[in-house]
Order: sequence, then C-alpha cells, then structure tokens
Amino acid sequence: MTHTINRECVGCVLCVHYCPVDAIRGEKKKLHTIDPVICIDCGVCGRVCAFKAVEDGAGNLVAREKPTEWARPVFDYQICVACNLCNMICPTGVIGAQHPDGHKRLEILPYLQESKGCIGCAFCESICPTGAIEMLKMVKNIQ
Amino acid sequence: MPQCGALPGVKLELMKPSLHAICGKILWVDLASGTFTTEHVPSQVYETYGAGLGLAAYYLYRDIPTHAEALGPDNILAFTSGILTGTTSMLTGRWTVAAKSPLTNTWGDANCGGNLAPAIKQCGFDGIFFKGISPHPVYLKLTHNKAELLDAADLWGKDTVETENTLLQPYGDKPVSVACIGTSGEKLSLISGISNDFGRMAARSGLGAVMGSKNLKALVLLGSYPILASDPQKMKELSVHCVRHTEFQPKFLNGTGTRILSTFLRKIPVQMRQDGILYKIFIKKYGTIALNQYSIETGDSPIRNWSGSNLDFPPQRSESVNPDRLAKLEKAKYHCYACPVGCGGYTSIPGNAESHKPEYESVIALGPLLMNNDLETILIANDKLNRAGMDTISAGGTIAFAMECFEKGLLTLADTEGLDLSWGNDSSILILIDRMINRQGIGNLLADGSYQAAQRIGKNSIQYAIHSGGQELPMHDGRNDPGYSLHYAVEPTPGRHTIGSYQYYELYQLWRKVPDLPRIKSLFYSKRSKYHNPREKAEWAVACSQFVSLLNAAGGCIFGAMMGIHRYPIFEWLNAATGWQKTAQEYMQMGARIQSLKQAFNVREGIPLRHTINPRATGHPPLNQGANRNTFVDLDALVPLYWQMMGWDPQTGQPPAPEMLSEGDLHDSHH
Repeated sequence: MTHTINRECVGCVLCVHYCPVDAIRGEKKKLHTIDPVICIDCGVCGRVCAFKAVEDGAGNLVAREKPTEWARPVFDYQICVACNLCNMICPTGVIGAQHPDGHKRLEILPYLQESKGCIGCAFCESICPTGAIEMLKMVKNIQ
Repeated sequence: MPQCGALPGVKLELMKPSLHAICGKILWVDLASGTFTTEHVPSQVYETYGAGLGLAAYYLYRDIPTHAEALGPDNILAFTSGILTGTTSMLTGRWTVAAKSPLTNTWGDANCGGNLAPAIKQCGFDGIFFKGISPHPVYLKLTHNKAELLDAADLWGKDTVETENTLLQPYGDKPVSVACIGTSGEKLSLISGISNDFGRMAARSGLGAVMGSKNLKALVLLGSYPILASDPQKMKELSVHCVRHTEFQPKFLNGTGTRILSTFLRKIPVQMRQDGILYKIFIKKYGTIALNQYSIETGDSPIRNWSGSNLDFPPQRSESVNPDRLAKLEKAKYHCYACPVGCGGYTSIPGNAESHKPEYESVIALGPLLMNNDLETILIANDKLNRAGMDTISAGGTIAFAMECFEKGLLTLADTEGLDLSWGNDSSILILIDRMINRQGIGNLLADGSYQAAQRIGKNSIQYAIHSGGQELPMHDGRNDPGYSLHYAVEPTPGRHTIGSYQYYELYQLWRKVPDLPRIKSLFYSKRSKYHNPREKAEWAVACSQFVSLLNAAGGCIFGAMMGIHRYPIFEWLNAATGWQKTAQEYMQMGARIQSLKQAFNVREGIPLRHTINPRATGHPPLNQGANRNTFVDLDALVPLYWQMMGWDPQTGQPPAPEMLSEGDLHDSHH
C-alpha cells in the first residue's frame, strides 16, 4: 500500500506541488487522490499537509513538519565509495557530485547541492551500501 | 513532412512500475515523421531474453527487414538499459546500443558505462528505439512524461564534449544524461561510436555512423523516476557483500612491479591461474592502463600491426606507458553509476586541457601497435578521437595498416600527400588522425577502417588489414590466449574482446554457481596446454558467451564479473530485483537464447557465420621470436565444437529457430 489522502483534504494543492513524481491528482478546493501506481512512498505530501489528510501505507497519519526542520543527508567521505547510487535514487535530483574541497581523495563524491529542494525522503540513506549517509535535522542557533 | 523542431512535445503515458526492476515498456521514435509510440513489452519477453542486449536483439530481429541497408531508413538504432540498472546492485550501470552494423554488415552492438543507463529507465523505458531518417538534424529530449525532437542545427559540427556542454548548459547542476555523436559520426565514418559523459564511447561496430545517418545528434534524458526492486533488503545485502570485496586494496603494488612480475611470468614455462581480486586491485588503482606493460611483456598486446613481438617493444621502450606515469597525470577519479571500483579518471593532457584517462586498448592501439612510445602523442590522439567520436581501437588498427602499406610501398608519399607514415612517426600519427576525422585526402580513404581501405587500395593490401569480419581486432593477441581468437571468429558481433577468453573463464569462476561447468583446479598449468584439448576450451568459450550475453542483458560490467561470480552475485541480484526464482543455469540459458538470436540475425543476413580473420592474428605463419613464438590457433578444430556446444549446427553454425519470433510475429505494425 502506498500513501493515501483521506476526507480531511481541503484541496490546497500544496502536496501536488511538492510531489516529485506527479502522482497526486486534484484541483483547487477538491479532494485530491494519489495514484498508487506512480506513488513512490516518499511521504512528502504528508509532511507538508496542514490538515492531517495524508495516511501512510499502514493507515497512520503522517505528521506535519516544517520544511526547514526536515532531516537532510550528511555524507561521511571517509567511507563513501563514490558509487553514485544516492545521486540516482534522489527523486528531486538535488544530490550532485563534485570534488570536495579540502579532501585528499581523488574521487568525485556526492553532496547535497540544494538543501531547499531536498524533501527529506531518506531514500539516499536507505540505499547507501556503506552507510556513509546519515539523515540529520538541522539545528538552529549553534553557538 | 512536419518540421520536427516545431513539433510540440508529446505527453507520454506515465510509467507503471507494476513490474519490479524493469519498466515494462519501450519508446519508438519515428524520426521521419517525428512521432512517438509507446510499446508495452510482454513479461514473457523479459523472462526469455531479459532486458538490455536481449531486448534490443528481440526487437531488432523482429523489425529490421532482411538485407536492410545499415545506413538507410530501415535500420533501427536501439538504446537499452539492463535489468539490474537503476536498482541498488553494484557495477551494473552499462547501457547497450545496437543496430545492424555498417562496418561488418552483421549484428552490431556496443556498450558503455557512465550515467546514461539509469537515465533511460528513469524516463520510464527499458529502451529507446529510433527508426527512419530525420529530414534535418535533431536531438531527442525525454523526461518521464514528455518526449520532444528538437532542432540540432546548431549542434551539428560540434565535437562530443562541446555538444554535451551545450546541451547541459540550461540545467546547471541537475543530473542530466546525454549521449551524442561527434563529427566522425556525422560524416558517416564506419569506425565511429556514440559518446556519453564527455567522451566515454560505445565505440565498436560503427554505430555512430548509424546515428549520424539518421540525422540524430544526441539524446538528452531528464527522467528522475526511482526504479523499484522486488526485495530491496536482499538487494542491499548483496551490494554490501560486493562492496566489501572491492574495498580490499593493499598498497604494495606499483607500476614497475607489474612489469617485473610480467617479465617473470613470461620466462617461466607455466602459467598461473588468475584470481579476479588481484585484477580488481590493479583496476581500482590505475584503471585498465595497469595492464600496459604487463600485457606487452606477456605477449597479450599486438606489436607493429601484429607482426612484431615483445622483443620489438622492450621494457625500456614501453616505460613511457608505465601505469605510474599516467597515474601522475590523473586529476580526479571517474566512477560510472553504481560503481565502487572507479577505473576511469580525468587526466591532464598537453595544452593544459583535461580529458578522460586513456584505456589500455587505446594506449596499445595508438602506441606499440604503431611502434610509437611517445606518451604525449597517445594522450592527444586519444582525446582527439574521443572528441570526434571515433573508435580508438579501429583508428589505431587502421593507422597500423596504413603504416605497413607505406613500408611495403602500397602507399607512397604521393598518396599520403607528403605524410611520412614510417613506423612510430608520432607527428604523422596526429596529422593522420586529424585527416581521418575530417575525411581529407588519405584520411578519407582510411576513415572507414582498414578493411574498406584495403578494398579501395587493392594490390593484395588486405593481408595487412588485421580484422575479423571487417572490424579491426582489439589489443588482445589470440596467439597468447587462443580463447580471444575463437571469440573474434564466432561471436555474432565480430572482433570483440569483451566477451571471453581462457583467462576470462578463470576470472569469472562460473563453476562456483553454475553446476556442470568444468572447474580449473590447479594453480599452475603448462603454457602449451592452452593450445590443446579443444573440446574443453570450446566449453569454456560457450560458457563465457552465454554469461556475457546475460551480463549485457542485466547491464552488468565485465570488471565486476572478473572479480569472480562469488564476489559479484549477479544471479542472486537478478532474482532479488525482479522477484523471479530462476536458477543460475536458467539465467545461463537466457544468455544462450540472446546469443542464438544474434546469430539468427546474421543467418538471415546471409553472411558467413565464421568471420574471416586475418591469418596473421591466429599465428599463420607463427612468429619466430618473443613470448608468442611458434604458437598458432587451430580455429578449424575449435569453431565446430563451439557451435555444437552452443546447440547450433556444428557444420554450418545455424542456430535453432528463435523463441517467440515465429513468422507471424515478424514485420508487424512497425513496418
């Protein structure tokens, strides 16, 4: 089962804008639906919904989180093998590859090139074969 | 005729990932009318032929009419992606391009790493098939729900690197994949290939000319759809297992060490069975150039257009291509998608530019094969050929042919417009490459490869064209490992080194997973034994052909497979990705069906099924000095045994009728 939208939906189309694979159908002020064939279960629709209208595959409500508080990938370049799987699986295409500054390695390694575009789905963390990616929440006001 | 450039984009049906790992559909692009069709692929096709090479073989056999002109509208150019590509498996990021080859008039395919393979599937297709000829230059822009053919007039005439830079410019840092041809593909050079990632080439079989003949300059793929596996947990477990082996990287080996080791191995009368992990250590540290001096010393590299031996190119001379020298120039490592090994690299070349690190094949084809030991020339020539989109192996082989013709007086200074083509003349090599790329003067004669040039020169110059079925032989000498010669002669795509040899069979270690295959038990064996017992050797070759056909259907990389099948669990990955429950033997049968289908394509074309190989390359007459002295390959004994064990007619090489492709299925609505 993929994510679904319940009757609480007011039709604000916010989830439609955020969905990285265009799986959500719906017009303004009308109940939205998720195409289960296209949905990839990233859960971003639930994280942006202010009306508790999105349920995950198990039927639990997905809690709302502010986009600024979403966990984002942090890369450990000591153990990354530069296989680029994270780069490929990222549904929003915000993981790029470049030569990291101040690092002795010759490999071109992945990095989060646009943290605003990241939807916090953690697909990169789950796919990494060496555990080099950890999803961390940004902490404000670090002294 | 509608102007393709002005066509509005066509909305495509969204991907339906009801099948795991595979997309379930392919895209047909009719370049003549600028129209797009989506075709659903029956799941039985995947179960019979897999994806990647198998899918291309199925549709090309079905839809290319018999005796179609290779550079005409009836030929079909297929870009396909393997079953495992885009799932979380390791070393499985290779894309296949296939068409009828204009160089050999046989089945033609080539494959390449980089980042294009997952991009095809991320657009929702297992393959993109082009037919017809566009009335003017175009390129395809594809996302997961929209396809467009856009005008490529501004791109025509640009090299592969310029083309890619121009096409990527609007997208900034977004991951976008591009495949394109260079100027030699546009000029229909029969030894041109297709490039991705700024000059990494699917070079062989002359498929760049097919793309050029269709007026198709490039593909720009922007899909970002994730590919789902049936059992993601198992996939990751297997990948972790594979990555663990690739991380084992002791530091004691260096370039000089490879040379000393190889001289020692040449002098002893026995040969050591190789284990892939050693090979992996070399490849990860240096790339394929690790083998430069090793191969020259052990007799694996052809010297002086296959007429010389390692004694003509001794270590003092080959020191210029020592892997350590090239490694010093390396600015960054280059990994294909899903690869923890990373054999590629970006190298600084003279003129303050950067280019892909040359491969072993390119170094030998532009170096010892021409008696050239100037590293700068090799680097510049490699970059020129990558930019023009020309195959370095065929270009090197063709220049070697021209040099021998020059030596023997079949080409004179008047023919070459004053160019001195004596052996090892490095400045002439660069000028000749420029002329071949631009098809000027003597370059026009040589731009279609040595076989075509020999036909035009006449005077029995064909004896100096070292080819198989019209394609220049790669830089692995069959006199040293007769397995190469056998594959050069019997593969449906002639003259390929990426399928099998006796050493490859040792490295794959298929017997660990496929019961009944002979196990090589002893660590050392006599070098002479390589030339005996053809029955056993044919069995090894059949296993290699079947396995590599499957590997190409899965999108796998041969360097992964060379680590050994127990470290590179491809059969287990295939089951976990697709949800199938097939045994290793059933997968080998899938490979066999692909191989038979390619052979059936050649049968239908009516070409000789045992390709003509220049006798010099098989040791007729044998060399009288060096590592390969007095060795020759008895193809007359090996070929019928190979055909028999493949399940083909031992006398004629005729395969059984292909499955799912009866008369009624052929030439349907697509024609």
